[in-house]
Amino acid sequence: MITKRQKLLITYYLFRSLFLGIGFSRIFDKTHQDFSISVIIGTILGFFVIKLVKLLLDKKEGFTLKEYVEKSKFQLLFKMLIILFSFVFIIIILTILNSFISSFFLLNSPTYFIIILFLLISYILATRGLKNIIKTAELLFFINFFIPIIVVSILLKYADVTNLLPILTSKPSNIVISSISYCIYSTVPYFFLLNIKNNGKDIDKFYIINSMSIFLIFVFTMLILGRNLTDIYRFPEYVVLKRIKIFSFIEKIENIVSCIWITDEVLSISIALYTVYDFLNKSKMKLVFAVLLIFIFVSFIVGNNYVISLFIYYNSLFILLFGIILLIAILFIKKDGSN
Amino acid sequence: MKKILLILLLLIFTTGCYDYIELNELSIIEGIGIDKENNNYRITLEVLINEKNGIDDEQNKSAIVTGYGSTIASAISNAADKTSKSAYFSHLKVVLINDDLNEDDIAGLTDYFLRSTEIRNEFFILTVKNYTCEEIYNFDKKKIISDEISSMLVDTKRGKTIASPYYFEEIIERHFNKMQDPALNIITIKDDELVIDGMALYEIYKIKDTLSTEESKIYNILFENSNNIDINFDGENDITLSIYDSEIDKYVKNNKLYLDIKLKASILEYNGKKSLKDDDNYIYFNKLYSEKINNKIYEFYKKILNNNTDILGIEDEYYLKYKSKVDWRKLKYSISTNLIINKEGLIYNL
Repeated sequence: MITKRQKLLITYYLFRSLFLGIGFSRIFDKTHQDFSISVIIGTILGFFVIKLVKLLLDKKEGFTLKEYVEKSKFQLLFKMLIILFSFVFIIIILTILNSFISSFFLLNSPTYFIIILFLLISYILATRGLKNIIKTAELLFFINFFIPIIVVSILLKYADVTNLLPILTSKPSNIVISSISYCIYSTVPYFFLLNIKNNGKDIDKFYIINSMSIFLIFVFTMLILGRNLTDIYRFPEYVVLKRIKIFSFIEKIENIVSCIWITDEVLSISIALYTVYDFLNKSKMKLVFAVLLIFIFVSFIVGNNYVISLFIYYNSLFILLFGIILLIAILFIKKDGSN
Repeated sequence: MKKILLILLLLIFTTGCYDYIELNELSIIEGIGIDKENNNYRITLEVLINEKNGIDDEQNKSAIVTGYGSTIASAISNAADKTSKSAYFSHLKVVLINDDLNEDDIAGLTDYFLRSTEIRNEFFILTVKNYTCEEIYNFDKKKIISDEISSMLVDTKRGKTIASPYYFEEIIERHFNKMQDPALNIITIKDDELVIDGMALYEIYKIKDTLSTEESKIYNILFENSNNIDINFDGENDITLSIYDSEIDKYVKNNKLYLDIKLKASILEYNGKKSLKDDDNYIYFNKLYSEKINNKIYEFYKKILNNNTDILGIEDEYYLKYKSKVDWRKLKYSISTNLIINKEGLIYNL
């Protein structure tokens, strides 16, 4: 049985998974110094989506998403759509991770070398079940929670408040688009929470806390890099870590610190892969086949074609919207089994 | 067996062995110099060499390699090819650019450095005057020139010399801003010594004029970089003041720029006749040197105005406050300086 604390812990990782490489840069790109308005409006919008998730979690308490979907007349269609959605989610994250790692960590390694590493770890975690994923999440939580706090306190001296000025210079349409983007990036990963037997207690409150933690990263990136540099860098949330200097002799530690982003992504992939595993009736052979499919697609098609990578980067929002539509569709499954 | 296989697989894939290069197979580049010759770039690389003369005798030296190319990237590649090992740019400390480089050249090198995955943007960037970058790097073959320059600039931050150093990213910030022009430290050779000699004023990326070391002090005051700036005033009261704190209030009102400057200073040396025990003399000094420094700031402002180089970022600050653009050249200006001598040293008068 997953406890409330463990469930909320998982939301911490899921929430952040789509911000590295996409969420931050897309929102900064559209709204510059006005990102805070987008984040606040996005959080309000996201709160309503989370209410939907909460409603669904309360409605299906005691069942996993799979068991719940099996009540539907269109269970095969739902199952296929959920597997497809999980695939899309994993592919988006792997594409971003590949871009991140090949830009800063493994500059010369081929894509398949990078992708296999994450898929292998996620496969192991997914097949060992939710309990092991949560145990890993619990172990990593202290690192993932305290490192950002330490980083923020170190970077405080480089913060320049004028970098947040002038406000209200972005077009209203850009603020609206960014707010919707924030809402989608922050809520869509919650979809995987549905496959956990638990109610939705407190997930809405914890969503606000998660949102505040990501807002802090937004603010500090802008405070330190300023409008122009956040615009030109591909991963501003990573570049800002290059400024870390402790007592003038501990420096160049951005690669160690940025591991928190990687753990977020690995755990999110594992949870998505676990959903696929569950929907494939816990057949390891089928999961191996699914993982191979993702591996081949990302390593040899997406990873070697920058046009497709860019397409994913720019259109991820529309692709992910599919998750919210799916969520609403699932809501219409009635308890008696009819749609 | 399965577990062992998994551990082996993870060992192969997670340790980054694919990108692994032995330290002694790397040519660590500490400095880059960019000159222009017949429409081609000449890149000078300063490569760190670790020389061993016995078991305990280890010495760090540098070697200079040059390369040519029609673009910055091709010239750097050409120069890097001449190093015996794989060129490694992550420890880059200093980039020198010749003062004859034009706007396009500097834009090109900015793009190259920002795009490069290997180069960390935490190096100093300086302009070379009267010499080529290659000559600067070859100035003293016993020394690592990049280290020397870097030390000079870091000491500057601690208040030993005068010019404020800029990291590459700070310069880039100004470039993209388009509302603030950059100013770079000048490195040159004077009296057979490598010296930082004032600053080069740029309009966007076009060098317009230079600031002398005395003018660079005013620049530092205006940027609140007052980390013990020494100013000497000859004459009746032969005095050297050290400005240790400055506070600038810059604002525009009714089409007029106001610069209200508050300075705190200590007496470093005094050879005058007035008694430093008398509080009236302090009031007199405060007024006198406030006026003198104010005149210097006026002269400084006129210079940057005549050169049309907004290194103070007046347009930028105006935009941040009022969200509209202003032509700083058309603004009237008023400068007022208020200097307070707070520390007189351990003695009054000799």
